[in-house]
Amino acid sequence: MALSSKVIRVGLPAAALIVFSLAFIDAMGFTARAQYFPATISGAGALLAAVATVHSARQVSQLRAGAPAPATVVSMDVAPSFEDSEDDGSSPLRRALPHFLWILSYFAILYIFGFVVGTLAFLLLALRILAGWRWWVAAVVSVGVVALLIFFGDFVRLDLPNGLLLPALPF
Amino acid sequence: MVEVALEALTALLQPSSMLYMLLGISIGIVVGVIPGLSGIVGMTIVLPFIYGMDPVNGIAMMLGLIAVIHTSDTFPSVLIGVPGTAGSQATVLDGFQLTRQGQGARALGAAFTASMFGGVFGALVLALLLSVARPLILALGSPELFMLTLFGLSMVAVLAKGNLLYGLLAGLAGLMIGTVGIAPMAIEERYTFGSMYLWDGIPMAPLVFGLFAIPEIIDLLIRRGSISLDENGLSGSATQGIRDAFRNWWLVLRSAGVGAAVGLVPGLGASVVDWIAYGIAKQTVRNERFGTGDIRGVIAPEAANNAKEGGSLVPTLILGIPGSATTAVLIGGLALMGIQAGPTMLSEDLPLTLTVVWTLAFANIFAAALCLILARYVARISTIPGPIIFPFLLVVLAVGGYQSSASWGDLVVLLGAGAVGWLMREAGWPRPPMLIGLVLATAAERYLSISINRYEFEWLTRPGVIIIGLLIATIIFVGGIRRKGRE
Repeated sequence: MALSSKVIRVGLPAAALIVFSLAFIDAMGFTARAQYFPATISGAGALLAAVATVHSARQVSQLRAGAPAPATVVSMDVAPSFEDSEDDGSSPLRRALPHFLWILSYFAILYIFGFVVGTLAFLLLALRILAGWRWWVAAVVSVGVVALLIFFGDFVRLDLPNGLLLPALPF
Repeated sequence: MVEVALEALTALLQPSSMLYMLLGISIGIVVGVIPGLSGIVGMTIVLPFIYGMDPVNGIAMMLGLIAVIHTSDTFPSVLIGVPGTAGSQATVLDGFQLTRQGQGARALGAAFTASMFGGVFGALVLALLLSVARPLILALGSPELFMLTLFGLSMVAVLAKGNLLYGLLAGLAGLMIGTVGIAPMAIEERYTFGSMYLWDGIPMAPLVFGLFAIPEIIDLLIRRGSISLDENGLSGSATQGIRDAFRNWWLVLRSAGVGAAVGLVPGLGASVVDWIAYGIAKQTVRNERFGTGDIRGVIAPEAANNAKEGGSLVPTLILGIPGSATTAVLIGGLALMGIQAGPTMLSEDLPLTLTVVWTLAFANIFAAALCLILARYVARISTIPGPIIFPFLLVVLAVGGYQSSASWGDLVVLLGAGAVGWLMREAGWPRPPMLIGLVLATAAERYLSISINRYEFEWLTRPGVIIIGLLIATIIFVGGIRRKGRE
């Protein structure tokens, strides 16, 4: 099991413990009517998160000692297979990071250039680089998709994001 | 009554009314297919045209629209793992798994058939309960409404079976996220960090997209394959799905019953009906493999979310109490045509009320037939390689998520929830409990506060509270014992 998997397994409940604890402390400053619900939930959450952190740490240390990994069901709820994700030796975090960066990049260019220009640029680059399409095919498809979204957007009154430098629709 | 019903049917069958109904159905289908848009968007599109319209035509258009949204919203839920609307969140769990197994067309076939029967069942419930439901709805006070939210929350325990510790933790995290914003019982900001965006709380759509869709997209890109893992691309057919729905007719019927019953309760919301139906089905069917691609995990929520519309129209029409933002706009639309929602809907406006019933039934049948025709072709989306489909999916998610509040915060929530969803997936935490907690947090806090302020702890002895409490215990424990016995 790669390091990042262990970090995720133990780190997630530990992060939950920190968040619930901070939420509980913050809730102490609310007035009584606003306080009881978040205080109860965050208190219970912090308690459970502490148990989950210990439980996960024990599981990870057992795995390190050579015990078989706990079986996981292939479902929407969990990763396809905890062990399969280590097949090529790289950690899941390292393999997922470039794809998260694609998502982050799209949102960043949307933020700067607005919907039309940002989406055109993103689709063009993604279809060229990720899908391996020819430039002109990627360009035609990108323009077509953006035109379709503008048409339907007008029909169903979609809100399209304006950018810092350009409005959503530069016309 | 029969004469009036036939009169209403004749009025609806006029070419102009049918045309308006088909227009409403078309808009409803488009709104349902686009993730992030809800019924209220569709209603605001048609509302400007309603003023002064013939009431039968207006009702045909508005109800045609409302009735079919939960039919077409299944397309994105099943094929790309993104709920089309809040009412089809639970469909994602098994629907998307079936698509991954090459059974997308089958899942759609089963879903549309279940939706159709659910919708017609809802129309029937509306017709039957119109005159008798009034005292029942008025008997529901805050204590009973709190118990019903607790009923919804109990589904966390059902869905987290086998992973209870992390499931409960995810449920509590959802409840915690639900407390962000202005407190329901005090004018006070909670966890907003000075951001006005958070005053209304964290919006549902980008959170759901992030939790469920982003991890799947990342997985798709890592594998560089298509959504369907089946080497043959598509092995299931829509016809097979239709047969599945017929084979599970009893599940369709009881899930539709659950949907209509939840719909009758004003304010419980569309977001919870599919989870309740899914949870009950998980507890009651034999040899379940829910969450791993069980067709019954698609049938149950789909029958329920369409049946809910019929149930929710009972308080809307006869009491003038809107159960959701969409039905609130519907009341406004009726007023624009000179119709006052309330007890008069059972006397002088009875023919119009029965037009609503007929429209619900017809619209559900038409929409299901149309979606079934399209299912076979649309299901091919699941065979497109990940690197090709990813850019289009991301654009749809971004635009859909942005519709929540038309603010950049929506995209931040989408990205943040995507990261959390991916981490939860990698760590083996169940994600549905988090959504249930989020959906019910505000209602649970509000109804509990009102109950305690008004009745102190005496509310615990109310018959309705005890009955719902027993129902929760029965579903959780008896279902669990039955399953253990079978295992």
